[in-house]
Amino acid sequence: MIFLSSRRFDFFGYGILLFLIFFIVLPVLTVFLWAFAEQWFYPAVLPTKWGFRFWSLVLARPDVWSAFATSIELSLTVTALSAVICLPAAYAFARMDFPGKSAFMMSFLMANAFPRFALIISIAVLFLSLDLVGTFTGVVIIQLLNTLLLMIWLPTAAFKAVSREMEEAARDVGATAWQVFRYVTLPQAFPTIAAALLMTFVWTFYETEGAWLVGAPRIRTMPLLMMQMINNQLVVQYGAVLSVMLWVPSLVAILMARRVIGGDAFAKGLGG
Amino acid sequence: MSTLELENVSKQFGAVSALEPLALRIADGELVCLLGPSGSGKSTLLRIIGGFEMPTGGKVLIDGADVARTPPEKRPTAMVFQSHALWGHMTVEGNVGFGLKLRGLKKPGIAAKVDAALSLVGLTDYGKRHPAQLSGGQRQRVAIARCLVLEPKILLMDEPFASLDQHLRDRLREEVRQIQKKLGITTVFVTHGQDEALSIADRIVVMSMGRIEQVGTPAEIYTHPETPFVAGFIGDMNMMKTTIESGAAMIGGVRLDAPVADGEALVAVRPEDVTLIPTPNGEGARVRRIVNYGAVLKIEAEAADGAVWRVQTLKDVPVTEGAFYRPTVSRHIVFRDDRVVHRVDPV
Ligand SMILES: Nc1ncnc2c1ncn2[C@@H]1O[C@H](COP(=O)(O)OP(=O)(O)OP(=O)(O)O)[C@@H](O)[C@H]1O
Ligand SMILES: [Mg+2]
Repeated sequence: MIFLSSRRFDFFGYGILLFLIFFIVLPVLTVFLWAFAEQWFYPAVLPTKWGFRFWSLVLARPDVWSAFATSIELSLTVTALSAVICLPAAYAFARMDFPGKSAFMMSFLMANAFPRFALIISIAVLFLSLDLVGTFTGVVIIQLLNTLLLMIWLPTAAFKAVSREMEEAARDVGATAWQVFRYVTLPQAFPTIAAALLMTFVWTFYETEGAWLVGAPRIRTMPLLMMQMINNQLVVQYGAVLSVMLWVPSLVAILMARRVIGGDAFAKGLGG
Repeated sequence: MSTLELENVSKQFGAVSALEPLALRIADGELVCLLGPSGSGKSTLLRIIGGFEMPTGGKVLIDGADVARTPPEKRPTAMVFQSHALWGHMTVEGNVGFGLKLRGLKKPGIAAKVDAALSLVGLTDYGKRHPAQLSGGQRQRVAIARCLVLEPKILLMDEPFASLDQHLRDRLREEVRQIQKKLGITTVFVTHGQDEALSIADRIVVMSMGRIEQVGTPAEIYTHPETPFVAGFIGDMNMMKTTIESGAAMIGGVRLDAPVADGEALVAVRPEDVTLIPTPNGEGARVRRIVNYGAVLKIEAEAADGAVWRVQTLKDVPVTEGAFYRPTVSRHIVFRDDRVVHRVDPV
């Protein structure tokens, strides 16, 4: 951003712009065009016949709807469980001192520095022996593990950022420990926590590796279905329509985030 | 009608002793300043009174009832923090009214009390603003209103104006004193500014290294310090090591009465208690520096034995740099083993 706004680095800015166009805008545009194309013959630049035929075809498929339901249910479950487990833990990390606290924090970071796929495979192997592979519970657990770092780290930073004196001032005017948390600590930390919850939801919704290794073939989420369609079917449009549909929730999420959270929340969550 | 008594209050943080067992009585309606250098335990003592720290030992009696183990929300104390500690997600009204809301007051009742408290601190029209939209001084006023609205028995303030500029600090300090007198509220005010303490306190508690060095009115603390620490900490002081022989000390060409046993001692003299009398022929002390402070001159005069007198005179007294003067001392204190052994006051 700094580069883009500075005159001296204009060519740099154009370079980045070209890069963005080639690797992000063009592919996205192509997907969009495919989603609304009924016929597209080489070498036409634009689809030769436009229409919504594939939309109705996709929407008529029961597997799409069940995958959608699965994804939503999964994301909601994971987000809710993650909140129930992680928020109290984050508060404890931020406010209490106990032996092994920093070791615990470090182990989180270490686990996340480990190559993800390898980690997921080893967990999948473990799940196999526990009969969790191919179950909704199994997928929930693996996604929960996925979001643990985010849901502990961001809220911990948010709780830490609430000044002690602010909480003490609340005690001073008569608030019990619980009321301090309810009326001061939580509202102060809320923007960052909301961001973390939203990211957890979106992340779980789109996650593929864990969902595939642990859930397939019985548990099919939207992204898995999309991959399957793209891999197995010659009709490009199915995949394209699903992509566009999948794009909508994340767009809504981001717009909501901007409304609810406000610009500096992410920075605030990461600092302090 | 509220009194505060501390009996044998002490505080350990692990191996660190922040407060040695100490006792203090504060009368109803009194404003007492805790004054001392950084780390002397002022905040710790204040936080013990407010309930934010449990004393390791001792009693905290408010109107005779021991509250040492009572949590802050159940104490009749209210605290103004250095960082104002306003809640940024609430308006000014929300901040001031929060304590009343917790006490289950109805909305109209809250509004009336909040208005009264805000007008007391001169912020009548600021109720709808958020703390971020206020200046530093206004924020501290809100913090004060937030305390006063609850009609606490004891008001506690921990360096409330430390982050403000000098001018604003002086003004707010005066306002706080006015309000405090008007409401007659017993107040403990922490500061490490001696001017602040001397100008508003009914009594000053001088602290050092977790101990109370002296308790007294500003005048007592200033003119009759009881330990060398207090003598050196408050105001300017000539502190001179000397040896007493046959009931007197000879320092910088001045003979000072000290009817005590011979031996080492410490003599303290305020710069304004030294007068310089011109001498004709290079006798006495030579003035080597004069600094003009407007109303007063601060002078350094070096005696023949190398001792340096710091002297303060009114601006109209004629003194010349390089000229010789004979110092005379109208008031001095002799310390031995950290205690006053002799004191001479002007007649
Ligand atoms: N929570 C704590 N844990 C350990 N030691 C502490 C704690 N709080 C204070 N201390 C120690 O107690 C001593 C007194 O601290 P205190 O904050 O009361 O000093 P103060 O007089 O208020 O100083 P200042 O003028 O810098 O605010 C210091 O040595 C300090 O390091
Ligand atoms: Mg302090």
